[in-house]
Amino acid sequence: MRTGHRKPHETDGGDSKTARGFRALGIHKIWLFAACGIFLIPHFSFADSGAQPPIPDMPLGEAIGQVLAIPGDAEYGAYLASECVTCHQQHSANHAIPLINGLPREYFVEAMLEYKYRLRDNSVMQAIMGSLGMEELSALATYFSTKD
Amino acid sequence: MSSVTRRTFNKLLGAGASAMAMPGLLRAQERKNVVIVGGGAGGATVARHLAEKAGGAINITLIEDSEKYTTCFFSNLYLGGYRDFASITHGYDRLVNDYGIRKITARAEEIDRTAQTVRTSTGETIPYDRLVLSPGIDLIFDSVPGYSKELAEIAPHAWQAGPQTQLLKSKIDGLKNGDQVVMVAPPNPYRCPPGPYERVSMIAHTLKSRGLNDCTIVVLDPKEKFSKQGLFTAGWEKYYPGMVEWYGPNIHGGIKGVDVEAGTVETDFDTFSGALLNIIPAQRAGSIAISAGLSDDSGFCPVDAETMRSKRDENIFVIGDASIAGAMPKSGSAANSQAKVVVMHLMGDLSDARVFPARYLNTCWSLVETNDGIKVGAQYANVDGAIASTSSFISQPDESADIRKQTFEESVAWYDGITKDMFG
Repeated sequence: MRTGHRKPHETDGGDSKTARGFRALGIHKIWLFAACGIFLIPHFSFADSGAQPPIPDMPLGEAIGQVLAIPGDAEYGAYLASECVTCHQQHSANHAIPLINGLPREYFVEAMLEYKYRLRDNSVMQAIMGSLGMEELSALATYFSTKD
Repeated sequence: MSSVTRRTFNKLLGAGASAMAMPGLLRAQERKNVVIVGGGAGGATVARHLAEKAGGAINITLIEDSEKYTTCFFSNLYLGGYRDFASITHGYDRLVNDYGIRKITARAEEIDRTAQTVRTSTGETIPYDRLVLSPGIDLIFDSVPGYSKELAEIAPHAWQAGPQTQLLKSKIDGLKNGDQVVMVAPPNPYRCPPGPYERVSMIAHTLKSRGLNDCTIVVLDPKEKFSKQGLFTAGWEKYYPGMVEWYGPNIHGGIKGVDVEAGTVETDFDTFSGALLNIIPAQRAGSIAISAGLSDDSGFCPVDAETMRSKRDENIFVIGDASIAGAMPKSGSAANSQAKVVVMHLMGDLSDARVFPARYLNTCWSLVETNDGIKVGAQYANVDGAIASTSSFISQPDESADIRKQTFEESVAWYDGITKDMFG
């Protein structure tokens, strides 16, 4: 079983997600910036350890609801998706990186937020989602849900 | 900057520009010309994605002097025997036949920024409304005294993939037990920061596979530290004990020069002999970018962090290894990501497509030994006028063999993906 791309029924139960969602204080501010589309992190060095923005303290379920409530801007999504498709190719037969075209919007948002909350453990995806705001995620979900 | 540029551009176009209501609906009589120099991870990606977005409404010309393109990324895996040469070599047929891109197999000789034309080595003069330069690197051979382009036929650099890579492979295959390989690593900034050290791993792998356990690989490095150093060093100790010796400047005291005929590299403290010398000299932007006046004293090209436009000419974008892209490394992955930002701004300039805040991404994959892959990468954005990291990751020293295998499998899938993204 590949842990990097678990399906929802294979993930931890909702309890642990919610529990981990309450970590750290003052993160609402980051969500606010993200929602305004100006998600900026000041310069700092990452040395050799890797660095990610903190896990939001908003419970995961609430975050999913908020992202889904934002109307997805498909044009913005098309630009953002151009970054994704380098690896997630439409015709790729390789299973190490899954296809994401046509994923339902709800599933897409939940899965991506699980990377943001580090409940899914692929470090590339965690880093990508770590610096992606709510508006961006909504736009991406809308875009990919309409692709075959 | 982009809105100002677009206004300026629309003014230049005159009233006709306002008629362009939607991307892809450019009027035939106003077809714009985009010229792309360099058919690698930056240039080929721009060509393909722009063709997809513009739907034939923009004339796209790709100037690249190779018939087929061998990727530098994964060329170390060819040296290690994991890939054959054909699998890292790609044609432009689909870009030409399926995407309607004009491919000129020639060198770009001169850019006239006033006339907005590019002259090719085949004598054509191609006009452009927007120019994308993705020429990669030029090697500064004499940065290692005694080295030259001619001597690279004996002591290959193999830092521009193609015949040099094949030459290095044949020389590795000719080594006998007890032979020593001496690599001179490049100073910063250079193409593919982990590349020299992945190469060391792959050479060690092939020697070990052939039972040549008494061979040694000496790395003479002008840098005090290098990318993924802890991960590589641990891998060398684990898989290739006693085979790899890395010396930084505080040990060798400085690289004085190479005598290719004698097979020696002289440093301040000692002279190192090798049956095979792999000399990777210092680097700068491809010469076309420098002769066009787009570089600064560093030898690379300053660009706007939001758009990848040259800071010297707003009609020219410079991407990939030739650009100074803030915190982003010089890599195929970075060039591919920068290409997406450029395509968005080309569509913004030449139609009235919307533009959005730039996002950039890089991942550097390296193979240490069979099924032991490591990765480092980051997300980037324009932070106060510089491309800066917003989140990052790196493989951990204590992670399981399963995760390392998964990372290797991801890297193979990434290679398939990015080469499809570039070449269709």
